[in-house]
Amino acid sequence: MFSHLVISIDELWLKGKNRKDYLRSAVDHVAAVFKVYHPDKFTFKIQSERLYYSSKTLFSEELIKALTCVPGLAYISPCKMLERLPDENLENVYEEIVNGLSIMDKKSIVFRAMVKRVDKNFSQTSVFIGREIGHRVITRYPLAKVDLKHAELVIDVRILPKHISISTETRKGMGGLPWGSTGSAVTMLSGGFDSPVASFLMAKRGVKQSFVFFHAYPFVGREVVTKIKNLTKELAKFQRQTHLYIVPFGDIQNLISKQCREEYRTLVFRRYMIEISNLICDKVKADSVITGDCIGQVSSQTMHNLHLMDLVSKRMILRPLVGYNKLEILNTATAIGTHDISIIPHDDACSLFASKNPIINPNMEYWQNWDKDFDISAELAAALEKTEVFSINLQGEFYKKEYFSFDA
Amino acid sequence: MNYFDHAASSTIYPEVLDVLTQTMKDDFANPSAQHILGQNLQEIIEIFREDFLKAIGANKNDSFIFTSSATESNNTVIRGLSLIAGDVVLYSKADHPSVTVPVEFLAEQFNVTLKEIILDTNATIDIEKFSSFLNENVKLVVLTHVNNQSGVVSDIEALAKIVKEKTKAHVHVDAVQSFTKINFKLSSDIDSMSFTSHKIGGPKGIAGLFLKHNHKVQPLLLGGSHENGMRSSTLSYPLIAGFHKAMKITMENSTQSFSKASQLSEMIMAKLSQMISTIQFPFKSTSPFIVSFVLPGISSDIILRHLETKEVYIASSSACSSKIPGFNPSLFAMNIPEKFHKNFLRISLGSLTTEKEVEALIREFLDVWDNLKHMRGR
Repeated sequence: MFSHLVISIDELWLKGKNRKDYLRSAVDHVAAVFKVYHPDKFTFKIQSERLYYSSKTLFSEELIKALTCVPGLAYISPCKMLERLPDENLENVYEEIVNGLSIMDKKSIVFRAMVKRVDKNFSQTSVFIGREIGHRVITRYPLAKVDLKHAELVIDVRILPKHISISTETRKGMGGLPWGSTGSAVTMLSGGFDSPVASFLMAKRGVKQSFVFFHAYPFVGREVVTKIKNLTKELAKFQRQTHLYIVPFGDIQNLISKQCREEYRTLVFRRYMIEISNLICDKVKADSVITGDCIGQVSSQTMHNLHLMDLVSKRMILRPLVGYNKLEILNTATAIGTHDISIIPHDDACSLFASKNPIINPNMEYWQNWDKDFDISAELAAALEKTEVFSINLQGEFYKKEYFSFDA
Repeated sequence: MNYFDHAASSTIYPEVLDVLTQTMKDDFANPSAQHILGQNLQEIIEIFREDFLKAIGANKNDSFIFTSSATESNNTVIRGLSLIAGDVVLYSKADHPSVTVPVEFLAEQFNVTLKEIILDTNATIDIEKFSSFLNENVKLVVLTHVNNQSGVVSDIEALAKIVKEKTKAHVHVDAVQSFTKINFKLSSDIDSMSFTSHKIGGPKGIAGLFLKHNHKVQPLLLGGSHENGMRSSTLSYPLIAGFHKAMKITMENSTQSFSKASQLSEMIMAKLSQMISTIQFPFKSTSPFIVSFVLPGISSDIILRHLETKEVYIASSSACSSKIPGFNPSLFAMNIPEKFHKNFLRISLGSLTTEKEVEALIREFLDVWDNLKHMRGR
């Protein structure tokens, strides 16, 4: 537990004039996390584009964990802040470091010191201070080893104008870009492994998201909704706040199945899912649609079939998994905590309706005629009217439920 | 609303609800208390108990224990006989999980030997095979009077007689689906029997266990020695009063309800067979309150949910096991091929079910069936 936190922002160095906006987005998101996980008073300042937080009460592990899910943060360092002694005397710093590493008494740990002079007027060089730290640590803990490339433990020391910060527990942040800084999207969730990973990857790139699920009740049960809510709960951690739209889709699927050639069913279902997602984009003013599509994974994900979806969508469809292997998707799902939810079996309406020989290379004439002859805009509007909209906070708590409306 | 899941839980009688409301408000005292408030309630409970014994045709010196559920009643007997390694239990995998699970627990924990009662193609007990299992090592035979999924009625009197001729085994009968609905004579060959309130229009949380006077069952719960030490727990006077009222009503109307249910169930079978050529009614000699069938072509859950959107409620299998996907050991024991386990549906009637409701059910059922014709074979 520490009462100081230093946060650095990822990829800020790539930005030019819009740097301030990115920084502001990150600061706002971090502030929202603090509001939930650190209700006590704290002070905050920005120095050299790093965020410094101090509080008389300890910053909890829950806070730090929540911060590792904030897009755009490079590192989160809980640290100790020492007063600078006169005459560039660093004895208090060395003492603090050595005393704080008693874990090394019995364990062989590979470490390195990383020193940075934020106050360039400080005359001792970073290299000199680093060496001194290494020397003192090894003298006290003979089992310890220095390795600049493969260190398990990094002793991060920063010389600030009035203070010196020491951190030995720097956590890697999520990286990427701050929430909402790159635009917003409606993410289509299916309950499988892929779409939550797609959502995570786009969250990492700063995309603010709402989620949509197409519920094929009464062809499937209600258990799948619980599953989708649990997935959303995990994905909400990467958003400042979010919404989940549960669109009743069973009647539409049934209607399509009755009129559409069997081998085209899945494609046509997806066509209307894309259309409804676009309507939700209209409502939430989102710029794109995110799907978990991966090229060639299933028959609806051939290039030809994906292209048809692009023709339907008024907005760009983001498919961050397009080049991923299944194993890579599963590994990421495990890392972000969605794997064990996705693996729970559920009834899947698409496979229920699916043809044994689904179309891979669609006939454009049939597709275009379908669009021309088959008008279900009334049914789509009716489905939207019955769409449940859940509001979820950054802790993953569902705190509000209402019905979809374009007016509200 | 058209409710056809009375075998899972029935609608409550308005008269029972009145009893519950009144007793919950007024009769709050602990029936075990020494003061007059408690003692008065205990006295009435004893009258109720005698009524229950009378209703099932038992003697006054037999016991009727109030429990929380039929699951508790079944567990009390199955686990309370203190069976040991080498003892044999006869049971059927078609029985309710509150029988099969504790019986299988005995096998796992105490090395009790299990013998499965074999059912013939109509899911009735094959008497010849049943007799062949009987020897002096058999210590417990569990019989189900009316199977909750198939509705098949077993001749428990005859079966219990055969058991007693060949063994000294304890004969336990699960009579949850038949109590007050199917007429039977309690013979001296039956040692214990389970009943529940919520399947006959009474409240949930109260059930009964008949124990013959010379039983050797040990209690599950120890504590305040209630129910002659057989079931320690403060007696819930309001629930017992509600259960008693429901029993009285169903007993009084038993004959009439039976013939009404027979007429309605035949109507359901006739109409559905007429309109759906592929429908199969695999069971013979069933309770008129339960109509079970296999409908190949569409998963039964899908039909169930389509019906619920029309406020028609049926069951796809026993409510206790409908979460288990695919293979259903109980249906398998009833000789239903595994490929049809997902196509099994049950319509169950209550004593107040009307012809108008049945007509609505048939109409909506056929409508759903027609609406899903493009889905068949999936």
